[in-house]
Amino acid sequence: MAIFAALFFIPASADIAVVPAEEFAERIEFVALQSPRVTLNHIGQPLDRVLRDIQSQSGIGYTVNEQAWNDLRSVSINVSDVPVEEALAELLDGSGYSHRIVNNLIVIERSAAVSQQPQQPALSRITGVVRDTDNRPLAGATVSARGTTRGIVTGADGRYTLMVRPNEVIVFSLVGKNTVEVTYTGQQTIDARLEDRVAEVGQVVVTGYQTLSAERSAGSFSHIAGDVVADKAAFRSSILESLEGLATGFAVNLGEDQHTFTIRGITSIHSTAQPLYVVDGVPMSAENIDIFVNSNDIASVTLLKDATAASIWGSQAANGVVVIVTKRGRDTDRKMSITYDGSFTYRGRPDYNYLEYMSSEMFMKNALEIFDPAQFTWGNVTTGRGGLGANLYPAVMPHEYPMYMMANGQISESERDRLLAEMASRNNRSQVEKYLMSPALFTRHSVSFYGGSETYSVYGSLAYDFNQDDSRNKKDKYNVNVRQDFKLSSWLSLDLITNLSYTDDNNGLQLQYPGNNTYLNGLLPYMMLRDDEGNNLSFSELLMYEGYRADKEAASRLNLDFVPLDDIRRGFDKATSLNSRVSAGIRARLLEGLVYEGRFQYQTNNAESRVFYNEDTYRTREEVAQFAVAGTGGGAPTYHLPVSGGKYRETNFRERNWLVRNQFSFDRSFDAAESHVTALLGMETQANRRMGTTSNVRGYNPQTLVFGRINEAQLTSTGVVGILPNSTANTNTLRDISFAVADIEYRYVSFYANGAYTFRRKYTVNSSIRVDQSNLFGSDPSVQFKPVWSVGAAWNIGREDFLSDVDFLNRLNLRMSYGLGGNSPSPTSGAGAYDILLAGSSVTFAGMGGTTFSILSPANKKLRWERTRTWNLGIDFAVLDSRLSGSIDIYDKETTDMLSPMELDLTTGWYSAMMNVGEMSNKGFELTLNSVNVMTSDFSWRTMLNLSNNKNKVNKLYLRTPVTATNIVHQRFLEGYAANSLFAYQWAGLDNLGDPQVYDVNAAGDVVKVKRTNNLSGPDAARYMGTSQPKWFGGLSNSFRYKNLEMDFMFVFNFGHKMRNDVNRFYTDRIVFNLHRDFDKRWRKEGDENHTNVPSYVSNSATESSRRSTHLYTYSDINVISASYAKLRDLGISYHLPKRFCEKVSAQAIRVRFQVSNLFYIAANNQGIDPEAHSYFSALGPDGANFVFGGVRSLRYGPSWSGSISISF
Amino acid sequence: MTFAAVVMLGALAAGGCSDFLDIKPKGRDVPQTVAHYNGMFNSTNLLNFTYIRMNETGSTSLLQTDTYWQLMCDAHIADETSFAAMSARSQNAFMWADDIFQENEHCAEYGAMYYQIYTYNLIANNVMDATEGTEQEKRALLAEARVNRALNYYFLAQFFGKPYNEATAATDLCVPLVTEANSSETNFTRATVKEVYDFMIAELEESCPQLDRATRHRLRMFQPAGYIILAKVYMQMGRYGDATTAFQKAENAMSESEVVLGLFDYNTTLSAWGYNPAMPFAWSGGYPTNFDVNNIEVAFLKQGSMMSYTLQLFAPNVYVKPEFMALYEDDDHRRKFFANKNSTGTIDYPYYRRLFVRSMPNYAADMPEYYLLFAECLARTGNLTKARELVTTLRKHRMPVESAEIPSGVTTADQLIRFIVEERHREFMVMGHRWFDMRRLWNDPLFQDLKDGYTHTTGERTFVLTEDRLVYRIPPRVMSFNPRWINNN
Repeated sequence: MAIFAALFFIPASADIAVVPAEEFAERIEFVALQSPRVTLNHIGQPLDRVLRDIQSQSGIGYTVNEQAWNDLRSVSINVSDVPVEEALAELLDGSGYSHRIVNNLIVIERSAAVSQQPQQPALSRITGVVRDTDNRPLAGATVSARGTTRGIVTGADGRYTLMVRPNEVIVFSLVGKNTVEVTYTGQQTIDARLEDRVAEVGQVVVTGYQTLSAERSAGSFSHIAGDVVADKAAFRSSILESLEGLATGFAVNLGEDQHTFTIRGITSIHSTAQPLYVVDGVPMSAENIDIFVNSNDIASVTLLKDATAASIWGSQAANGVVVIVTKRGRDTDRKMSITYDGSFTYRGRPDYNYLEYMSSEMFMKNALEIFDPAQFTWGNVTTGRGGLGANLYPAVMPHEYPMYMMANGQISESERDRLLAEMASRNNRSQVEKYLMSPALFTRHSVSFYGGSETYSVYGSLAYDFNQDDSRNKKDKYNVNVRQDFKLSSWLSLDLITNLSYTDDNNGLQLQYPGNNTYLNGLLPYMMLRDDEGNNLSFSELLMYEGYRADKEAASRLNLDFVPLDDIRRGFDKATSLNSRVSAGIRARLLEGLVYEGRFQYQTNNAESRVFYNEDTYRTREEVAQFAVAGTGGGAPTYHLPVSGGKYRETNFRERNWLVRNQFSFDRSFDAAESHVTALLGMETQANRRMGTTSNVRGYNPQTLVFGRINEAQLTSTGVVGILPNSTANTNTLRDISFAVADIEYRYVSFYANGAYTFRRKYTVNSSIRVDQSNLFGSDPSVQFKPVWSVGAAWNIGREDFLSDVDFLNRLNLRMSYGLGGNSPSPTSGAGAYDILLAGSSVTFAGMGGTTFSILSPANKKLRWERTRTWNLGIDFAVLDSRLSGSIDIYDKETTDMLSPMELDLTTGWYSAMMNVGEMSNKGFELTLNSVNVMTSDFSWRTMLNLSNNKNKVNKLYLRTPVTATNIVHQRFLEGYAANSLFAYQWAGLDNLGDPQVYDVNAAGDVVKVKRTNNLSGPDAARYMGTSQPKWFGGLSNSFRYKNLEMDFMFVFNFGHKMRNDVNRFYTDRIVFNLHRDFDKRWRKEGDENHTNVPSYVSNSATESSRRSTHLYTYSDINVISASYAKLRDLGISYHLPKRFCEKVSAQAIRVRFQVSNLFYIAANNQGIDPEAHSYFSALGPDGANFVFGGVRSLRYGPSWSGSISISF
Repeated sequence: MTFAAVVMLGALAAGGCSDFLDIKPKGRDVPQTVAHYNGMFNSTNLLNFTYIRMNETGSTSLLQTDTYWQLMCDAHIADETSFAAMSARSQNAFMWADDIFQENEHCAEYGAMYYQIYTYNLIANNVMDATEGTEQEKRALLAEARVNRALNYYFLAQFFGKPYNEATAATDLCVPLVTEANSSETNFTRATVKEVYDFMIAELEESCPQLDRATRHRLRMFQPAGYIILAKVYMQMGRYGDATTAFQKAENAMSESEVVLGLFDYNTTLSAWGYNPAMPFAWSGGYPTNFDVNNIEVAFLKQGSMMSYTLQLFAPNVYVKPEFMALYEDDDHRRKFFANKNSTGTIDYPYYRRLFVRSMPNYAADMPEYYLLFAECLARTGNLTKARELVTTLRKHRMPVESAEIPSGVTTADQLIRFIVEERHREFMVMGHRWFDMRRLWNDPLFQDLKDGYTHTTGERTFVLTEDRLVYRIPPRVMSFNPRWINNN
């Protein structure tokens, strides 16, 4: 009964999810409900012998330092049924030692002051309020005078009253908070503010299935307090990104094409490398976390890193688990506590200069230099593609006109130069930023409230987010979250969590040219969007030559002009989503220590997007022309698509997840607390179904809701010979069909169990096992039954007698674990025991059954889960009065059966199949250090360091022996090297044609220079350059508090990895986009090879490709650079407004905070690349289609500036 | 009571779990019914010489779209510029280089054929155990799979095995005979040319009678197409008598066809297809695709692409040797498929095969080819009258009737055979059919003079076809999986 009373009625402080009942009960019984009584009879015994007796009777542990142990080798006591304090007082009377009891631990220490003061001053009464950092009252905090038996627990309003003597140290403590000590010097009131313990080794660990005492677990966990996450997430829309630097092992890599979030390296190449995310005990996808969770509601985040910690999550947990627990209500004696949090962050527009595009002048100079009318004749460029391989239509860029006019003898050189100079004087950047972009910003308003009584408590929040990015995309998000706890009877309680979220996206319409807003930056710099008179300007010359356009307009009788600023207003791109989650829990105490827990969750997401381009957009008109067949003899064309009305696409996406979990948990002490057993046995069933439909209609009118009819069967199969081509095929076929459905379902059934046994609070062993079955394999037991398991042991060595007198040591715990985790192949990754057929509907085969079945993947009977074995060794320690604490973990993960597409002999009929053929290892260590550097009542300074090291190696990966160096440089995963490795050619400079050369060793063994990839003799020409995964990463945080003012800053760092440099990639053909500035540094004439590495321009692409491979330059070792960097991620100042002021506005507390993020960074490359604004390997080209290789700069923003206010009532 | 309820709930969930997990993915299926096996034939993926990969979403990735035997035929010519613009593989083919492919490159001639064979094997191995169909339906599907599979081996043999020579066929190496659908098989051996031809003959002779006689769909296998394929196999072996018999069976079955199998009359169709004599260079389309139900010249389809070497959007890579262009009479409509200007008439080239008309040649059961091959077999077996009749019928559909008669100088059987081979040239100029003739006639005493013309030039360099290059070497990618294989010379 007492246990449940504690569990349900003792208000939990903000950052603990569930404080173990037992721990609370002990503390409460001791301090508040009278301490246990003991009977002792010892004569001439060592002190620790007596204390051990006390421990066995009362359950209260002890620490004795060496000196006390020596001084008190022989003590005597004879008391019967007295409180522990009394017994201790008797025992230590006159010994020169005193005791105190902190956190259920008897601490024996020298009490010089006590022993040397024969006369004790009188006791005085003090009162005060204990609050948290948001000035909310803290109930249940212990306030005691150090070295005395006087102590009290704060009530629901945080108030306490205590009798103290002058110069006594008043200690304020609460689980999950840092202890505050204040010396009494005659004050009448002493208030205390307890801060959360930031990422300190948690007192409790939450696995999502159960909550354990940290000291009784052998697993490797990291704990992050919710308030810390909330503070960071207030300015950053992603909760997961906010975890960066706060815990070891969790890597955030913001470089593009990188694994953004990983725990202890990646263990899979073709299955997911993401950790499993769990919210309130139920797995949730990373996207859904940002949809459902209001960062202000987070109570705590726990990372489960090793096998013992994570194996309870079974086959989904090989990449680690992130457990998020949200806040719950508490007993506030039916008063509601309300908090408003508001924040605003301004990120601005990306830094254009960072992208290294040419200025208009530089562009024009280079464009003129490479102009080659002999290669690209006027006839050629106005009728064919003439060096514009990606274009469907002939086009002459505006800057080329004057050049061709002069070449054709129509204008003089000076006239040409005048025209070019005029163009070079223009720069469209400010117009692009003004009309086609928007400043990125983020704002949030959140109101949360909590309160409750003995039988009911509630926590709720309402939040509104507004997020605007640089592409004119605006997103509103509304969240309503409520958690209610009901205590139905002494043995039965329920909880109900409901989340509702609504998002409304209003996106800027994407332009047809340059294809995607991302490529706006590469626009030809002289192309103005609007003239001085305010007229919107045409871009149609970029798309097609005017003569060609005139012909096509005449034939199609359609206007084919393209004016970007008109087009972006001619339609809409909107999306909404309505998402809800209901999670109900039941908890019934069946027998002493035995509890039944059930959890039932249903989650549904409904998203809809609607994109409309009206009939006046170029996109719509162009498509009509592509499906218009010219009339004979210049007659009216035949239109196969509606001429009036626009293109409309509607996508509906529905996700339904449900989970049912039934488990029995057991948690009980035996033999007068000598033994403690926890155990869990459960089963859960979950399903995740995603359904989507896409509809495309043409000729749509959003007002009348009428759309046009087309002959889809003809247009998608045989097609028509349109007036404009839509591909290089001989007829134009329609690609997006009118209706498509997707429906995919994942189902899992899991059985799990674990158990832990702790002896004398010193020795713990634990073990777990889990079996997962999924619908991927059907229910065939031969491939399903693969249990994952773990064993672990912990030794709380700090409690051993032989360390009891090491008085600087407060805590020392050794942990060891070993176990197996899994990684499930995706049900769509193809194949189990059957050939999988894909059904389709075929117009071509109408009459022959109509339905077509294609073999999607061949039978693959050998597919299994990926398996990861993990060793973990850990030490937790606290020294110097817990001023310095931390932990060190060493791990070794070996993944086997890693899925990899294995190339097959084409004779089998298949190119490749997924096979469990890979092996990968991750080794590393992690260090967490927390130190309290200064701690006085007015000023404190804390430092936290998280340092993680990860060394990854692909030990085995089936890959048909790459025989060419070119194969190797395109690999990211190669046997014998770290995952995401970079390989490069050895640069040998340019030759006398400006062609790149690399070193190679020929068949005769001589070092030779090679300029074509085809001429490389073998794989040895490629050298390993490093990996793009950071080897060292972490965060360094410092926080200072002076009275009401707080300042904190955090550096994050990623060291030891590599990336490819961003280089020019334009070496042949004609220009369609702005060029990289490096092009200006290219080889132009013989001799240039002595001072530049940028290859020459060769107008004829056939000559160019037959003579050399510029790929050798892009992929050479001179273009692999260090990606190491350290960044000042955030710097914040918070101020708690004075109480007097708060009272004036009827608030309990007001806190304002200003933060600047990413104020500066130091990167170890000379190219000015911010590794977080870079694609390390590859990216889409400026036309949005071509895959270009090598690194590419992505958008970089300057520092973002934020302010927030938090008011609690 | 709570306890009991909980236990019941748990038991309920556990008990139902095997059904719970046995759900079939939506939009996916596993082959079980006759409809599944029938539907597998309804895929245009099986009708192309394109090596593809199916993606999880059902889309296809094109791994290799081009084939190269077309460039190894004798009618082409190039200049240094057009040669330089070719892909490396095309250049290798044009030069009759030993290896066309690099190790990392795909070979559609090999990969696409075996990719399709997997499907045919899957059907052939399992259709008789399928549910929901009659025995007769299953037998017809089995026969269809076997005939299709034999057709693919026919092509493989034309690329990777030496021309059939009775004396050496039992030792000449060809390709592995794979008859089981098993993606994990790793131990393949190259069968001999004789084994492959024996296999094809046995399969076709046994299966063709099981096919439906009446052609109900041009893109599915029925008796006329099956026997045409059988005849082509016999012709490659030099067994013209057996080929004639097979053609006669095809001819008989064709009379029952439910779809029109015949020839387009170019005298009337060309203008309907958009050919404008005023702007001959601008003709870009109108010819029905091979998938078009109205393309009466398709009896069964396996199409390749000429895109890689003669695409109208770019400058052509290869031109037609003038002496071959000279084979066309002025009023031969087939000449109109060639142009000597780009599509706007602004750039001059030597004559080249224009696209987009007749750009995807059919190498399986093509009606014009049926007329000419049948005629050749008849001429070789002494039935000159019918042979002349077939050739004249084709010519009447290709040029004004008054010009269609066989020239008076062609009188003897040998002259007629040579004329028919020349007519094949006119009909399929640079389309790649010539490859099969070059191989078949390499040792034919009647055609030894042709070898003099088996040269290519780029203007500056000249290349000569050797006997070794009547076969591809096994692509390096395949060899790397089978290091013990002996490759072709």
